[in-house]
Amino acid sequence: MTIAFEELEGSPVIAVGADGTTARRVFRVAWADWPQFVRDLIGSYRRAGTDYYFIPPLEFPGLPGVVVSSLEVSPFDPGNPDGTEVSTLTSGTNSYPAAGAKITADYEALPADDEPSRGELPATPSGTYLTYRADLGSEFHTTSSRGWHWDTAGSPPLAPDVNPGIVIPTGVFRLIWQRVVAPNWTAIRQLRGKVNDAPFVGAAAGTVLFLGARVVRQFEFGEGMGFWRVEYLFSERAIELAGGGLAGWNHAYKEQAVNGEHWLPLVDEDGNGPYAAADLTPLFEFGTG
Amino acid sequence: MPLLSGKSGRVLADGAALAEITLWTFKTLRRNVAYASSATGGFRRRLPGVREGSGRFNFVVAAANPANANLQTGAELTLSLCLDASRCYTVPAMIDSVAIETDISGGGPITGWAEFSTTGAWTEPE
Repeated sequence: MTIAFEELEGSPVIAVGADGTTARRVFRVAWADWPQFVRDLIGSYRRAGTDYYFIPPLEFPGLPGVVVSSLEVSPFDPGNPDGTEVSTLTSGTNSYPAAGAKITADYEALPADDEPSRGELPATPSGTYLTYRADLGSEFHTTSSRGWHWDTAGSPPLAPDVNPGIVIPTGVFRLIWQRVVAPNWTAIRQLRGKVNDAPFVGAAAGTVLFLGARVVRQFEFGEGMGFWRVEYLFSERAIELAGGGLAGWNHAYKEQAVNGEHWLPLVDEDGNGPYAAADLTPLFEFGTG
Repeated sequence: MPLLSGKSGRVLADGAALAEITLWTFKTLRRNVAYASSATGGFRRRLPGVREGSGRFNFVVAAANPANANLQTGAELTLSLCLDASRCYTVPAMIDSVAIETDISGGGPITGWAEFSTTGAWTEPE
């Protein structure tokens, strides 16, 4: 159903800044039509069995990927309410049939499916948006004095109270997945604390540790409406090995080098490293629960 | 076509006739909303807004039971603004102001007027 609307004077307003393009449009619709109009602007999913059918949010004309990020509905003429539905606190609200509703839609730029914010991001279902943010991290590793001596001829091992430290640069990155219809709760639970078994976001296998997810509801509006914003947190630890390759989360510093390499993989009696490896891509598939 | 004369007009406040009324006015209006949009083709359009009314009535201060004695600013009362003996506007109103004018140099009668605004829906004469 197409809803009759008009775009009001003064609309639109477009801002282009360092954080991307934002815009605002202001519409007038009949009071009874505002819920459906809002649904159309936000977009939605329809679920049929285990399949999801995506109804995309309406983009800002001429600006692909600029979609509605928030909406405000207010009376177009607040001075002319009709209170016939207001008999108790829960029976209804004022309506404004004479002048209708004013809908203010704020838009922001989200990366389009075919133009991700950076390369090598995991594939995601159509209609969802994945953005990447990275931050600094570091790890301080204290070594034993026994393996070190001053770099002078005949120098003995360091005194026991001298423990050289090694700063290991690490990184924390977030993959923020928006407009998710059904987070994959099972994958989140099963993959937390595991490392990647294959290259992931450009990082070598074994170097990315999945720390967990922060999940919040977004665009919750009425029955069957609403998405989730899923923020995945990963820590990347990649130490260049002397003989080539990278040491990840299952490597530790060995006092005595083996073939000139101090960073060696750790395993237990069963041959398992501290962190199990797994395919992290199910994090970016819809859940079925 | 016969014209209506105002000579039988009167004003009642809560059912009691006010003395020595010389004139009354009642103006109704809608606070319409003007706007322009993608659909108005370069012209402003208006939508009907909320209704309200206001008016005033003039009186001569009678020695006994002057009209202003029954009018307090801020008071809510039901005014009957009558065109004649049977046709009246029934107006819930709030008295906004009451004024008295004493003509010392001319020696004319002491007059006054009250201004009011509607407070709710009114009925018009049939």
